[in-house]
Amino acid sequence: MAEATSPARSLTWLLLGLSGQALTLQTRPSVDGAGPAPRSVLTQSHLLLPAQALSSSEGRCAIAHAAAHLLFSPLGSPAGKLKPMSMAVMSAIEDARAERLFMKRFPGTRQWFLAALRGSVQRDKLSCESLVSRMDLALMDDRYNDDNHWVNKARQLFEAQADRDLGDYDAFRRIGSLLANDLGQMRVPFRPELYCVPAPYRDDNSCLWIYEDQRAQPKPEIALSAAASLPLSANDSTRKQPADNSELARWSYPEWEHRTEVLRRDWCTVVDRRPAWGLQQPNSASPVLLRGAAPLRLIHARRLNRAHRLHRQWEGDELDLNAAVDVMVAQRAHLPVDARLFIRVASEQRACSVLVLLDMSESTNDRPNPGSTCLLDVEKSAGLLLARALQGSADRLAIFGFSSNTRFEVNNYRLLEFGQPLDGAVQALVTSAPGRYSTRMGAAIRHATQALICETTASRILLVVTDGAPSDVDIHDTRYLVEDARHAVHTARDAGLVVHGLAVDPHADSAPKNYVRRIFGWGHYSVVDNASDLPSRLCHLYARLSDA
Amino acid sequence: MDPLAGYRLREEPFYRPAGNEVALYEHAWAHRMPMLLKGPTGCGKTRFIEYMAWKLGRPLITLACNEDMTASDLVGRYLLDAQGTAWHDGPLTLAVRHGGICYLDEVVEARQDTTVVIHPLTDARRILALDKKGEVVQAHSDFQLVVSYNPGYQSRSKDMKASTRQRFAALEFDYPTAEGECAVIVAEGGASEDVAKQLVGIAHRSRALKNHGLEEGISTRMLVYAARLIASGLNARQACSMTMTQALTDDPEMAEALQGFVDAHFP
Repeated sequence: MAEATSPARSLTWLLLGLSGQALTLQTRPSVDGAGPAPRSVLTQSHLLLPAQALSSSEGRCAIAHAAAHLLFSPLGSPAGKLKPMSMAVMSAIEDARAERLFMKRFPGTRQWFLAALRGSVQRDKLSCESLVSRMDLALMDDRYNDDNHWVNKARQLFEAQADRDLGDYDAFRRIGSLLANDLGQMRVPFRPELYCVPAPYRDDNSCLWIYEDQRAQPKPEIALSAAASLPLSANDSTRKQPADNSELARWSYPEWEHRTEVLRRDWCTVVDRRPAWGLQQPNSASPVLLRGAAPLRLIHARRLNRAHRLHRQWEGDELDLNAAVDVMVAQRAHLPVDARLFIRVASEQRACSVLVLLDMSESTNDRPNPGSTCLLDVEKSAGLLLARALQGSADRLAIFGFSSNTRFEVNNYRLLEFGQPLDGAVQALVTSAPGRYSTRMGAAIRHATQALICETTASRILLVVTDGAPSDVDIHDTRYLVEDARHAVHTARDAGLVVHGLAVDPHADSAPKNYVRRIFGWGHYSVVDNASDLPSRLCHLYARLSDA
Repeated sequence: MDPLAGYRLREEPFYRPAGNEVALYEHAWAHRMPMLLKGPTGCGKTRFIEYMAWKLGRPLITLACNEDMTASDLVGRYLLDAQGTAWHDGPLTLAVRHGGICYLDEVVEARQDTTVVIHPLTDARRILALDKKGEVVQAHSDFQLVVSYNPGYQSRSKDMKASTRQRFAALEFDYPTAEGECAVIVAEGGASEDVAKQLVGIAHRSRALKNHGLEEGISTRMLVYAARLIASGLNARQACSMTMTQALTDDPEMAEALQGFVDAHFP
């Protein structure tokens, strides 16, 4: 069971449950050659485990030990002028103290630690590591006998203090300092560059200390492993600004001139594009997606077709009168009775097609407040979440994104086509689509309408997500594009589409702008005040509209 | 003859109040106000209503709602017998006619168009219209409607209709505090205080995983089950594996993590 799957997920959960803190678990790349064997590294946000520590029993120990530190150890004490050997011994004492406290809360973990320490004790040499490993075991296993004076002294001091007060960190620190001093007097050789914590499941104790020069800079381990986990992109600088997004086709659409009430023929050019997608850096992609958002469970209220009734059923809400008459006749005639005499409403497999049209203008790159996700990423996550929720259902989904650069170039990014399976390529495509230029909504809606009209499903829904009023650099009349979009929406409705607008703009339906109601009509728009609500609102809306 | 005899509770169900919910409910009962009990699975909603029904001496008619439930399953339907068709009251109609507490468990599991039949019962009219039979039943003076649901578990699209939920007064339930849960396990499961403490510890660990891969943590009910098995002599870890780990999840990795909690608590 454990061998078949990577244990990382279960270990993450174990750590979360035991410590109450959600840390990211990562495998520490193993380094070949000389030097101390790798130990795990605990930081405020990460636990890096050496690759070989991932066997289930050792991994579990490592998690429990890390949780013990997180719960009971004061992390990041200033190292000051402490000698490396003092720090090593103090750390070992602190390991034992934290584990002792941990075992009080989780009595079962005693077996875990005991087995691991018994396996790692070094009896042969008279080195610092060997002595510390024997002390580790002596502090855990009361049946262990050691002939070394120092080990026995450590045990005696530790147990005496443990009986008094296990929570007194400073007292244990003094014990550690005393023991380190003894070790120095015994002239036990100590080479800091070669020393490593003897028990393989314990971390390197770097979390316990903080050095003067270390405060400013990030821990090297994190930077290192973050760099290692990035997918390598060959020429990063050229990828960032895709010079050319591959063009698929060009289309001409009319535009509505509201003052003269004339439809200008072939006025706008819509360019179907596929974003040039390279391997994007994860930090530029949507964080929601990266965190592996829990798949949204979109349960359809089961659609019943009241017009379609199944006759002569074993069970049902109503009697089938014809069948009942037959039964009565059969009874009178003493013939065998067919007891299937109910009518049931049939459930209906009625699929719908949904096209989500995303605003990908320059303004969607803005972040509402520093550090938050930009709207473009939220839009993309929302689209992908919906796509993921619809996987395996009969409903068909397409995602288009639009931006415009004058009437000669209204870009339409075809991110997900109807019927296309949602795979890694689509996700990469969606995450790499750029946000730029302006919002010429009318042309984009007309183009999306064309795509939806080709769908043969019973209901066809167009969801338009935008962050502001339509605009473009070659238009100065603010009403012009609003009226054009309104015309496009009406045309789409005439063609039998359901069109609904989602404005991520708290002021979209209030004066002076009030464009969203003008475009989509009363009851056919929603205003999303907080961009982070967009995914849930979109899915909610989908459930409502597809049900109607 | 009492048509609801089978629905009366004969013995006092065990219930340990977490706050003043008993008094609150009694006030609501005095006005026969429809009640909505919400809270996570296995935290004691059903036990509470059983206890209240016993305390108030009313029969309790429980219906577990599901997606296939129709209005006929609630109000009743015509069935065929030797003489012809005959009307059979559904459980809701029984409670309305003869005065009982009708408890719809997990009401959001039923389709929304099904639950609409309770609307005229839950306002000032207090009537149930049996349209197929052509009868209007005026509710008995002791009739009360109670529904329960679990807000965390269902998807958003399965929430209650606003027009339905605003007819109810609501009581929120949650898992008891650690001491409270211990007391429940000792009383219900017959486990020792020590075992109960460890079981509660495991449950708290698992509840930290909610929304991190678990939909619901280990419930009080599961703890009681585990305690019963342990009290009857089963090894604690096996009992927990049976009633908690394997019962809660099918995901082998999640099961491993949960069993890790169990092992951490029971040597």
